[in-house]
Amino acid sequence: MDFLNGTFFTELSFFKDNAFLIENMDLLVEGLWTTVTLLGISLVFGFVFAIFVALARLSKSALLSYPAFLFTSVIRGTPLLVQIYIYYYGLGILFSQMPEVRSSFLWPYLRDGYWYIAFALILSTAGYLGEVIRGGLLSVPKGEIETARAFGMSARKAFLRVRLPRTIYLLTPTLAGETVLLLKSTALASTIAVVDLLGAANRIRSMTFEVYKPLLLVAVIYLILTLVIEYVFKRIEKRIPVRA
Amino acid sequence: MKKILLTVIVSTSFAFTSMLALAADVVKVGIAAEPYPPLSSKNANGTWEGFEIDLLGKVCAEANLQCEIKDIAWDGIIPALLSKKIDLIFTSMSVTEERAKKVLFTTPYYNSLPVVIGLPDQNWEMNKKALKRKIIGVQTATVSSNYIKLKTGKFAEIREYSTQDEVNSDLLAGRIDFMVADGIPAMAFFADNKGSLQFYGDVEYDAVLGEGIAAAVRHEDTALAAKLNVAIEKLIRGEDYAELSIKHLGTNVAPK
Repeated sequence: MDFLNGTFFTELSFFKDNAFLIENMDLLVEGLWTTVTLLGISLVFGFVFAIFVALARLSKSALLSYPAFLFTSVIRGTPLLVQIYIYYYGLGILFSQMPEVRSSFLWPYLRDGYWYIAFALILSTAGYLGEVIRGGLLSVPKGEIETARAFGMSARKAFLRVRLPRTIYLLTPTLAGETVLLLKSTALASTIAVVDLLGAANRIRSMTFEVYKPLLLVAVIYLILTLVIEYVFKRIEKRIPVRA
Repeated sequence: MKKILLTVIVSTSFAFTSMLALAADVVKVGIAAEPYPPLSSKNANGTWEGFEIDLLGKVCAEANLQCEIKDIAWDGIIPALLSKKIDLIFTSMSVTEERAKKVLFTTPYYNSLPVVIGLPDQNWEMNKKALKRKIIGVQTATVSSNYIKLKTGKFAEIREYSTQDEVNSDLLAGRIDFMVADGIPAMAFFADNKGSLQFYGDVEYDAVLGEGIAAAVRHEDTALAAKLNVAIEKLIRGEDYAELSIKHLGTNVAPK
């Protein structure tokens, strides 16, 4: 019962003493920007990478399909946080011990936690979406591809113009879900001193000792972002001309 | 038979109430869960050790309190106190105005200023020219972080970490150029890594650095604070304190 008469209730008197949120608005905006760019970068690059992973998985050559299988198994079979720590504390420290890396022009990027998070999220997206896209590619009716080929399209053209677009159409609802999951994964950025939305909330909490308000506020912002993502995908779904 | 039974019940209930009374006297002390040597850290057996831990033992003995250590994450330690998960904070917390609004501080039990440690061969000056493109690491919610944000926040990049441990490891990895941290743990860390780091001196005093390091209780627990104040006042003037301080830290850090 402690929390009922303790801080929890008093903190919930939501509409007083909120000046600190306005004072720290710049921090929140910075955090929001980091979260959104992380989402964008990992979605775009992860998606492209995922197509290649899916194709490799479907390849008849074991030289391609086996490494792709291994990749998706490892990425999907280990916690994302563990992967981030391996890149940041493992690879990152390794880089820092190599003088040639430390003096190279890449060092300003390689010392920044942001790019390790981006890297981890891209690989993770590629792993998860790769499997989804593989399933999508398999569910495109064979007849459609054969028809495209019969029209004289090369195998590549038939893939780019028929099979891949059809896959994406089929997968839009799944992609929406994966994007929302990805958004929530970006919150792990705050674990390696990157100021994303959650990182900004944590900073405000530690500066002001306000426990719940910053967290509740960013929870609402994440929720709004999720709704925006779902809305955008719904629009895409509606726009795609699907003939019954 | 009935009488015996009654006696048993009465005596057990007596025993029970006295146990309850005893339990009520236990003070739950919050120590930041992250290692902060040589002040407080866990050894390989998982038991706490360090200057503050030994001092805490002496303070509790002096004030006749039964203390029980609880590990709490640094950035949530004041909320933990306010929500009564712990009753006392004894973990190198500097007295600041902002914190004093939330908690009641005791008499300071040690004093030290932040120092600057960085990668070698740089120029440390708190101006735009010297700190351009430099990254300064600090532990979040410390007087060091308040200080550096106030002095250089407008032009230097300041990276905040939730534990001092992470600041240390990122400095060694070259991910940050400087760190500003409390002198005692920072100098201990520097002593272990003299080869790859450089000491850039301590910082000029400013009011944001607070008035020493003290224990903290809830505002309503004035009786507990009074007991602790008496114990701390007595200890910091004593031989035991000086001995303990020199054993762990090499100097006597008693507040003047």
